[in-house]
This record gives sequence, C-alpha cells and structure tokens, in this order.
Amino acid sequence: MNIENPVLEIKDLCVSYSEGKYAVKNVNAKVEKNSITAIMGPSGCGKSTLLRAINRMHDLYPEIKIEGRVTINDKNLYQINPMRVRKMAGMVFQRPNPFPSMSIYDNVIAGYILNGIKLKKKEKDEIVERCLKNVSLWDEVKDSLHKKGIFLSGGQQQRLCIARSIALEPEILLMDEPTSALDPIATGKIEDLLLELKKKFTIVIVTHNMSQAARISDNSMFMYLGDLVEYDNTKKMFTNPSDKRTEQYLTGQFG
Amino acid sequence: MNAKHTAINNIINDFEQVSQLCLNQVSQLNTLVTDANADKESIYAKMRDNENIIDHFEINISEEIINTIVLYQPLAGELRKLISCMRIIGFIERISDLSINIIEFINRIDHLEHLLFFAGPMEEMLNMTYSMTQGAISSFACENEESARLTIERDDEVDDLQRMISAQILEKKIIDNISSNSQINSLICINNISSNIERIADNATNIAEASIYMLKGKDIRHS
Repeated sequence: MNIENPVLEIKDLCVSYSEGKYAVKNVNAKVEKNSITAIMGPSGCGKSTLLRAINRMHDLYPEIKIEGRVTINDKNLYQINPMRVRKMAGMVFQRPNPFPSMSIYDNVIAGYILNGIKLKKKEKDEIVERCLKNVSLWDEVKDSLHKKGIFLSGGQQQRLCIARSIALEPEILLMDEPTSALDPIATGKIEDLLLELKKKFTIVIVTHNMSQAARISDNSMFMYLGDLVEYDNTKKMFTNPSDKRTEQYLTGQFG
Repeated sequence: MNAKHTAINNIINDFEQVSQLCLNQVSQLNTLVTDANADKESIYAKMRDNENIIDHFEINISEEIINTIVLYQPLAGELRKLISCMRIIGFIERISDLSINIIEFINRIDHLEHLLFFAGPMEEMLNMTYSMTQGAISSFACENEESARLTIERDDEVDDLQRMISAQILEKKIIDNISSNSQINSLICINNISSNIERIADNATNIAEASIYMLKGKDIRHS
C-alpha cells in the first residue's frame, strides 16, 4: 500500500517468544500521519505483539527477540532510550487502568511526574484542562479533579487514560482493544473521540470488532498466523479484499 | 451453516424463483408477436399474474436484503452479492413491466397484418433479448464473468435492430401510402413494441453490469 507522509514505518519486523517460533513474521508497513489504522485478525495472530513491539514493551521480557526496524519520523525506536520511545508512542490498554493512588488531576500529568519533568502549577493546570477537554471529560470532572480516578465509570476511566497518554504529546497513539471492556454507549463516545483525536495524532488500534474497524479506521491491516496478509484502505478491504484469507475472515469463515 | 449464511441462501433461492418468472415473461412475448393463432387472452392473463408475483417478490427480497445487512453486517463478497442482488431485482421488475407494456401495445394494434410483416426482425430481436437476459441472470447465479461480458457486448446489436425496425416502419408508411389513423396507430404501437424490447435488453445489460460488480468489485456502469 502506497502511503505518503508516513509517521511510523515498520521494516522486516519479526518477534519471537522462543527460539524459531515467530509470533510476528517479516511485517513491513507504513502508517499514515493523522490517520486511524486498525489491526485485525483472529486470536493469536500477532496483533498485540506487533503493537507492543512499536513502543518496546517487549523490552521488559528478555526472552522475547525482536528483529527488524521500527521508526517514528525516521528515528529508529530501537536505538533510542526506551523511556523516550514511550513518550513518542503513547499506549492505551483494553482495561482502563488509571493509577489507583492518584487523583484525576495527577493521572493526567502522571507522565511528567514519573519522568521527573518539573512543571509550574500553571503549566500543569493548563495541560490537565487541555487534555481533559480533548477527551471530552473536562465538563464531567472539572469540579472533582482531586478525587481518585478509580471512582469514575468505565468509559470515563478509559477517556482519562487517553488523556494521560496524550498529555506528553506523543507522535502516535497505540490502542489495544480500548473499548472491548466498555458498554456500547461508552464505546460510541470513545470512537467519536478517536475520530476527533486523529486530527492531532496518528492512531493505531488493535480491534476484534470488525464493525468498529469499518466505522472509524482509514486503513486496515489483516494479520494471520504472524503474517501481515493484507494492508489497504479500509473501504477497499471491506468491500473487495485482495487476499482470499482476508475475504474468509471478513465473511466469518474463520476467526 | 450460520444464520447469516442461511439468510443469504434464502435470498438467493427467492432470486432464482423470480428470475425464472422474468424469463418466462420474455419468452411469452415471442409467441405473442410471431404467432397469429396464439391464445392471446390466456397468455395475457398469465403474464399479468406473473407481473403481480414479481412485484411482490421485489418488495420481499429487498426487505430481506436490508434485514440481512442490518442484522449480520456482511462484508466483502457477501456484501457485494447482496447489493448486486438488490439492483438486479429492480431490473427484473422493470423487464416484467416492459413485457406488460408490450402486451398492451399488441392489444391496441387493429391491423395485425402489420405486426406479422415485422415478425421476422421482431423475433430476431426477442431471441437476442431473451438470450441476453438469460445470460445476465445466469452470470449472477453461477458467478460467471464471461456470460456477463457477452451480454454487454450484444446490447449494440439489439440497438441496431431496433433502429432498423423503426426505419422500416417509416419506410412502410411512405411506400404503402398509409394514411388511416388506425393503421398509423398500429405502426406506432409496433414501433413502441420494438422500443420496449430494446429497453428489456438494456435492463439485461444492467443486470450483467451488476454481476460484474459482484464478481470483481468494480463498478463498470457508464464506462
């Protein structure tokens, strides 16, 4: 697929959990700036493994081997400090995970706190308000910023986690099934939010929900048994996929 | 087989029934136009009954398709099949309408000798149109691209025949010095019959194009 202005480039990426057994095999892809790219595929196909290879989460597990190259704006992520990588690539997980001991306010600026970046009060206030407004949570929590984040509803907690991840102004946002633990209304709000956020950020989202991928993504990847089988414009892939395996997955013949 | 596949199969089964009725409508026209001794009243009654059944099918199948899309969100080839089916049902209904138009024009012809004069080219046109309709429907039902493309290629031949018949009608009027209203009316009806047959062929072409969309994911209309 021809991508102009790629912000993220993955080249010959392989990830193995044990010798000779690859969870991700030779993935090559470019992700367009200010787009939403969905990664789909049956369970165990390597979607989350691929996502976590982007922000070097596999570094925490020495037995996991990575080969290939991942760059954001031409910077090789495996040649720079991993903490810096995680500022460039924010991540949101399936289960909302606001830090339980922190207030809503502190959750938003947690990235700065944990990185030892000192900010003036005025700067912190500005970041908190901006990020909570960006995720449409400000009006709901502005009078209770010092309450603990865990007292919010599931959908609110997830929006708080998104606010936390965008506070450091990452280049890209990585999302691993961000709505699968939420009810349909909360899911709808998160999807609307992502469509707004893509104006400022580039988003890569792993999803099991094909309808969600169809609704919000510009481009889609289909993975199967560790291979990137097909990567194309979402409308094209969903109406006329090029690969038979993609067709079979989309029509429910496996998955 | 899951609920989605059952729903799609039911739609295709209904489609096969209605497309057979459509072909029957077109094949009956041949008898009406070329056989002076045909039992016209009986054929008319049957064709009108079929027209009602086809109208009923059009509504039911359209509704089934919409329900299937809403409930099961089919994608890729399955979605294209349903969208194509929806388009084709509309064209089938139009072919049936045009067939009824033709029998109504036949009814209005007082001078049947004029109709029989043009029986040869009319029969040729009808045979070609029937073949196109059958080929187009089969291209969808059997997922056969070649059948669709052959149908599309033949559309110009039918157009040429229709133009030839129109020219011959005008020529006949002049050569035979036809001036009575009832005779002129008969010739006009014959011209309208050939126009409606040509429109049936156009709809067969439309069906073939919808088939190609289903098979290839490419919309070749207006190209």
